[in-house]
Amino acid sequence: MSGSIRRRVMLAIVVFVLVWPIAHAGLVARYQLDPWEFFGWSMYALPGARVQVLVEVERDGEIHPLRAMGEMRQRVQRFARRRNALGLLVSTEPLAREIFTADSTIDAVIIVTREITLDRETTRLVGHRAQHRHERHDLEASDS
Amino acid sequence: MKETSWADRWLGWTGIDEPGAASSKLRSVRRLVLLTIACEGWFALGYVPYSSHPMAYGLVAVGLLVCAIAGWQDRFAQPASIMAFALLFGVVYSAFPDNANHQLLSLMLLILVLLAGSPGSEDDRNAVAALQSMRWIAAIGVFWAGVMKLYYGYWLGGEFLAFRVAGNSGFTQVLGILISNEELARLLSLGTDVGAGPFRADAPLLVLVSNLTWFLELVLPLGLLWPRTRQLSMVATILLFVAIELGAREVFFGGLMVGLILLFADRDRLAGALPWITGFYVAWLLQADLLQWVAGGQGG
Repeated sequence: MSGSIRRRVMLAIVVFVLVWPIAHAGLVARYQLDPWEFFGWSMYALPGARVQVLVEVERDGEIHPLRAMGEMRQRVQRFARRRNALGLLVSTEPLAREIFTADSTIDAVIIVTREITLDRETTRLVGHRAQHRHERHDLEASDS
Repeated sequence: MKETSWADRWLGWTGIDEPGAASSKLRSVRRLVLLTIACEGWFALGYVPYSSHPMAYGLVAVGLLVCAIAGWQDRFAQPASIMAFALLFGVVYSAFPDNANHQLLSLMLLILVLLAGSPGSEDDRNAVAALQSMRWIAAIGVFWAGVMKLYYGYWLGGEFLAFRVAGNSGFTQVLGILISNEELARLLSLGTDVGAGPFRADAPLLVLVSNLTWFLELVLPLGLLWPRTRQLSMVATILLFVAIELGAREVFFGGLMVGLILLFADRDRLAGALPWITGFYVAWLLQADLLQWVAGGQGG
């Protein structure tokens, strides 16, 4: 690689560092990415993302919390970590599919996420709850 | 006379090093980056997801340590930097999205080290340009940090600092002295559940520190670009980082940033700072999670 090209690549890296935070702020606003992650220079600008995940399952019309053990527990934790970092870019559907695969008696999976943020006006912690319900027959129908 | 391209001119805004100084600075920054990622590799073993695969990431930590030792010498600089880049890239890829910002910064710096070419190569302009790029990254980063504090709006009234004082011992120890005992007790009693608050401190000094932080982050990078104020701004920026890290304790990120800002010096000041930074890293490793990890515990 010639010296001139090398220096242009260097300049491109500098330009990337210059403009990336604009895109980063957009992604944080649009998809609720963790502002502390992904090199957006926003660490300590505001509290980092804090997302709590609760998984419930429905069997024969009754809803119970998922008793995730072993590998399934790790999958739920991994989903929570990814959701915390990547926000809405992480779909709940793959986790629901894994739960259906692991237990054929489950009819529906309900994944509840609660994002805790510091409200700028009141400076109090507030929770934003979202619920995602996945029916086994819907996912099976979409596969076929 | 060497031809000057538009890329050279743009990069040159952060200063132009003499060939001897450039070579020395590049050596120092290479050592700093390799040292940082080697120490961080061991530190990370106490944390998820690295602690979930201790064998794999332990081997990576050993590899990064070998790179740091080999890369200390110029003759092994290129292969050690390439190997360190490959290992760190593998770590970032496999652990995604649990990546630290200083890992991404280190990847970028290693690319610049590699683009600079072998130590003592004929075309010193690449080494000079690599250093200029690193200085740009430092100045841009500090500036954006200030912009983001304004954009998200938690620093004008000291809300973020009050929140951290309430929930982070590092901030409590450093900034607690700016707050009255009653106010500090109130903040510490708030907890972290939904509804907790208000995280707004009735402490003028805390609000002053909060606003001074973003103001300096906006102003000092401009001072770094102007030759007349460069050295003064460099010292002030380093002091700002040291002050921030007293509370934040992002030791590896802080070490890298202080090293990058030292590149604004006329001479290679980073070489003199490396033993200090190494000492901080080793002390941090020993006091933090390494001993806990060796004893079989889990880092927080």
